[in-house]
Amino acid sequence: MTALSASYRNEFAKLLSRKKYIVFLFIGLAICLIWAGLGQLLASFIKQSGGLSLVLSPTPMGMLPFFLQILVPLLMFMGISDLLTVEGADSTMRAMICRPVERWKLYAAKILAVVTYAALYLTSIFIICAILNLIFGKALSVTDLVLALISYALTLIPLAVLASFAALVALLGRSSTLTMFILLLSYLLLNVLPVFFPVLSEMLFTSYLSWYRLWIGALPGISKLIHMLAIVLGYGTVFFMAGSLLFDRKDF
Amino acid sequence: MTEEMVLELENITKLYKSGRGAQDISFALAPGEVLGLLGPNGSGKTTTMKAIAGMVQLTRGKASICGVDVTKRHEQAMRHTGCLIEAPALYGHMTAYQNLKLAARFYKNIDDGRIDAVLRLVEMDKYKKERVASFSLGMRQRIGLALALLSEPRLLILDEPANGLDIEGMIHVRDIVKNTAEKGAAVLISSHLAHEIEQCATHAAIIYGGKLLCVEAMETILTSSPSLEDYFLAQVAKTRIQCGV
Repeated sequence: MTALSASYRNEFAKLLSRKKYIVFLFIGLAICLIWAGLGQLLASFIKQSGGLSLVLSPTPMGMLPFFLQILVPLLMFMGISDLLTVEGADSTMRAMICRPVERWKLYAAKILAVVTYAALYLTSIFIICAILNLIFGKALSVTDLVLALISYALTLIPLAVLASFAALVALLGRSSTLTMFILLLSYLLLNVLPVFFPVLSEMLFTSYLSWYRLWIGALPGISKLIHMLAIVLGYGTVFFMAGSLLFDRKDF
Repeated sequence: MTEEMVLELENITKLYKSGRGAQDISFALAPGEVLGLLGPNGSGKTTTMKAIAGMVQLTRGKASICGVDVTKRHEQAMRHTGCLIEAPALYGHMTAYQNLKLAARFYKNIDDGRIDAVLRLVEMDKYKKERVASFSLGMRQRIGLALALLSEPRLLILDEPANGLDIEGMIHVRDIVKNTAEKGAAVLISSHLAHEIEQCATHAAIIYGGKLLCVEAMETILTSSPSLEDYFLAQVAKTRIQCGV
C-alpha cells in the first residue's frame, strides 16, 4: 500500500509541478466567467429591448457537458501522455522503475493521478459555477446542488475508463505528439461513429461519458443500469489489464 | 553461493532485438565488496545493471538481491538497492530537492534530514532549490548519486558514475564508494576507465561482446599483471584469438 500511495502522490505532484495544468485550470474558470459575463450582457439586452427579465448564468449542470466532452478529455490525454509517453521517451521513467514499487502499481498510480486531476478540475468548475449563480441572483436550491454534485461524481467512472484507454494508447506511442494525435483522432472517431452507426452507441465506452443523465433523471430500470455498469467496468478492466501487462513487459 | 550474498546472478541473459545485450552473466557480491565491471562501449555492462535493477525483462536467468528474486518480487528486492544507471533520470522542471522527495516517498524512514544529508554528501546542498534543468552534466550526476545513496542501500549500482565530473568530483565519488563498502554495502560499479576501477574496487569483472570473461579479486589481478588495464587488454586479446577475430 505504501508503494501505491507513494507512487500516486508522486505522479500527482509531477502533474501539478507542470505549469500548463494550473494554467488550464484557470482557463476553465475563465470560460465560466466569460460565459457568465456574456449571459449578463444578453439578459440586459433582452430586458432593454422590452423582453422578459432573464437570469443567464452558468449552472454546474449547464457547464458540465462542455467540460466533460471536450476540455477534460483533452487534459487527461495530455496528462497521460506526459506521465507515460514523455517519461518513457526521455528515460525519466527509470527514476521510478528502480524504486521499491511493482510496475502495475506505478501504472495504476499514473492513471489515478490523471483522474484525480480531472476530479480537481471538475470540482473547481462546480464551485465557480455555484458561486456565479449566487452572485447573479439565482442561487441554486440544495436539491439542485446535490443532483449536480452527484452528476459530477458519476462522471469520474467513465472518465477513469477513458484514462485507462488513453494510458494503453500512450504505451504504444513513441512521442508525445504522436500519442496526442492518435488519442485525439480515436476520441473523435469514437464520438462520430455512433452518429452514422447508431447501433454502436450502446457498445462504445465513450457513449457513457454523459451517463449521469440517466442516473439522476428517471431511472431506466435496474437491468438497464446493470447493463451500463457492466459495459463501463468491463471496458475499464480490459484497458487496465492490457495496459498493465504491456507496461510490465516494457524495457526502460 | 551462500546466503549472505547481497547480489547473486545466475546466467542472466538479456538479448535485444538487434541481437546485442548480455549473455549468461553469473557472479555474486558479498557485503563490503566492490565489483568493478570493465568493458568497452556496447559490451553489455549497462544491460547487466539494468537487468539487476529490473529495468529490462530478462530473456533467461535469475537475479537476486539479498536473496529476493528481482523478477518475481521487484518491490522487495529494490528496497535494498540504490541505482545510478546511464544518465541520471531526473525531472528537469523540478528542483533537486523535489527530485529527491519523489524517491523518498517510497521509504518509511527517510525524512527531510536524510535528503539534506545526501545533498551535503554530494556537495549539492547549496543548489537544492534550483531546477535540475539548469544544472550541468556533473551537477546532474551528483544528484543522481544522491538519489542512489538516499535509502542507504545494501546494494549500490553505479554505471559510469564519474561521467561529467571534474577531477575533484571523481575523487569524491571514489571516496563515497569506499565509504559505502566499509559500512557493509556491496557496490557494483562500471567504467570504461580501468584506473578508476583499479583504485576503488576489491574485485573486477571483464565483459566483452556481451559475455563475462572473468571475475577476479583485484589483489590477484595486480599480482599477475602490472595494472588492471594490462590485465583487461590481455583478457580481450585472448578472447579475440579464441574467437578467431
